[in-house]
Amino acid sequence: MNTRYERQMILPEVGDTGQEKLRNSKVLVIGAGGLGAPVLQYLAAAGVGHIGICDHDKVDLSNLHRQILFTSKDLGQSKAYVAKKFLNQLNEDCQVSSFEFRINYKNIEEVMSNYDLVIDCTDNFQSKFLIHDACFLFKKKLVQGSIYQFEGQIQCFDFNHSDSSPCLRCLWPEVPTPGCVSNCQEAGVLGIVSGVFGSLQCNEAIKMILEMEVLDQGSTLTLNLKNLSQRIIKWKKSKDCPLCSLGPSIRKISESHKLTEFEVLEKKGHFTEVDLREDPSFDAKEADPNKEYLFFCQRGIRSLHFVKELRELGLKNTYSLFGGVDGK
Amino acid sequence: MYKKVKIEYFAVLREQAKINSEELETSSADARELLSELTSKYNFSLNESTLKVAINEEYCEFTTKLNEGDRVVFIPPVAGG
Repeated sequence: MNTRYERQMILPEVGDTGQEKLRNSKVLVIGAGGLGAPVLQYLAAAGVGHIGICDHDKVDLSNLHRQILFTSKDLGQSKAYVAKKFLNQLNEDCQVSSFEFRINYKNIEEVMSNYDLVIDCTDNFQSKFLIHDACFLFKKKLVQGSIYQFEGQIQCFDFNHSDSSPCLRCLWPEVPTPGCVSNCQEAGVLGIVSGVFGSLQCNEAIKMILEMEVLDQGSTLTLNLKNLSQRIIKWKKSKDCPLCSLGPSIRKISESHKLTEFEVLEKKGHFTEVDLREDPSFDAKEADPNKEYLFFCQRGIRSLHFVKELRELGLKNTYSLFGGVDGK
Repeated sequence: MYKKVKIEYFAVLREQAKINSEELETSSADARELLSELTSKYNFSLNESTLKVAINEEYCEFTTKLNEGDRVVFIPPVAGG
């Protein structure tokens, strides 16, 4: 018995066969942040043969309280690259690939193509729905996780085997509006909370690989780490689902965001640009009616709210950059 | 007709209600009326279009009728990672 994996191979659920399944499995982790950190470490430690890491972001000092793959020495470096180096040192049995860019509707098919199971550790609805839809269309297994302060949810899908089970679009046909609830940056999060939910996600993923029982498809596990209350809530398959019904409106991966009439996809020359990250103040009374103003921020959420307010004040010459600086 | 239901709050709603759960005597006939009753009490920032409701561990429509002893959970979407 391979000493490295001895303690898990003793388990009747693992054994030689299970370890071989882990070695042959191909897992893609999208998002190497708070959830991704424990997921990546436990996948590699367990001997998962092929691991992909996709993240466009760079290590920031404010990440370190929860993203425990990174140290103070890694500041400013690509998260996917640093994570790959970490996993290479942890376990040389694993083949690790890094994708140092943001997942989007153009690249997702290619990024996913070499993997069977996807673990969604992203932090926004656009990415979560994009990954979910792609997993459905390309018949992948998917483990989703998301957190809010002391609470979180996980969901599991096996789109390779489960035509009769619900998908996430049966419950949420439309992508929830960005900014309708806050992310970690705005709402705050204790590092260990992402650690617990990432570990739960990885536990489900490893059980999927071992073909053990996992959380039912069409169920959300919710867990509140303040009072440890836990609940499993089920939803039903919808015959009107835009993705998994008999007459779906989503048949391929495409730019799904419906732009509001005052959002634009790119900066164009005629706009007067206003960077809300540097200076969040803008005096509506001083605005020149002959100019067209383009507001932008990190993600396009704050700028969209800002422009909505200006529009309500009657400033029709104001626009928001969709996706913000990050989305470009 | 009044009935007693148990309500649980999740994520941002828990933050705004400042409680985990409560038992409530209500005359609301369905989940929609109950949400509007609770919104006037707690000033929730989310409405029906950005929330899900589950009764007795199953997600359901806001038009689902309430019965004595139901456990009602309002669940906003969560995206942090």
